[in-house]
Amino acid sequence: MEYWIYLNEEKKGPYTVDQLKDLHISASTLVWGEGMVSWKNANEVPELASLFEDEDNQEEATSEAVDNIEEPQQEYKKNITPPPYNQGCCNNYGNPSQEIKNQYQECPPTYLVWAVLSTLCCCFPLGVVAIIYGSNVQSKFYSGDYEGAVKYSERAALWVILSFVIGLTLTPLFSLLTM
Amino acid sequence: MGLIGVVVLIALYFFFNPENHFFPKCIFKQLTGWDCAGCGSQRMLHALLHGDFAKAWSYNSGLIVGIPIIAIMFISSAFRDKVPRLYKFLNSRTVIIVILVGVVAWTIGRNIF
Repeated sequence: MEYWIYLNEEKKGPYTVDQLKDLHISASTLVWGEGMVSWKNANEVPELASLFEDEDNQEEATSEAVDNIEEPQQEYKKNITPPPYNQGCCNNYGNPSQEIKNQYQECPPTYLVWAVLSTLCCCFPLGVVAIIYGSNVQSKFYSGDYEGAVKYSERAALWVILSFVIGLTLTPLFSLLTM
Repeated sequence: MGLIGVVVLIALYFFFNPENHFFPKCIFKQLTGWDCAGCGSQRMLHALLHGDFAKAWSYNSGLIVGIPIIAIMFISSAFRDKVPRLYKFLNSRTVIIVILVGVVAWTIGRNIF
């Protein structure tokens, strides 16, 4: 297994575990290897955790690993590139506070229940608009566009409120006028 | 929320028969003359609470089908942390589009037939 590291705003790699040891990366250096969903702190990756433990144990583990890994190294270089670190919902490391925020973000609400209820009980056309906005929230979120998801979520909420307000005020008003 | 719902249902059951009393008509129906997806839901609920299922069905059959779906959606959003996968499924684009098509189809259908 080889890893890319993220140092000084740059992606570097791939490195074998042994090379990473020589680079003296710190426990909090961000690394990415094939199969990982996002960049992680080096000490959170099981294979690299040994680098930050007792020196004696680490010596054996890494030298063994290098023997196995030397061969496919060229293949990896050709075929694999690490994911971008400044796009998408989970890989933004440009701003540390943003990074922490994104890791614990959950998908914004679609307000589906309210949109359906407002469609049925208050104002049919406006509720439909709310449902349509709500339908885009998850697809935006899971394609990494968190801002877009929030935008659609807020619009869905807005149209639910509009539907409730217009439905609940105009309905009695019109009823009285047409009595 | 649940308490308000219960109070409204009890009020509907005892004091209010939408067939006899004045009840404001849906704005969509007033403006267009067509039934919207929710038209008849008060009468339907009233009939349903009195156990008259056939009558309830005639007032708004689409909503009778929809009530369990809405209940599941409501529960899944209230307990989102406990049922994350159900929540994700119910709020996916596909499911929402299916619901939307269902609502629109029911609206068009009930005005044609």
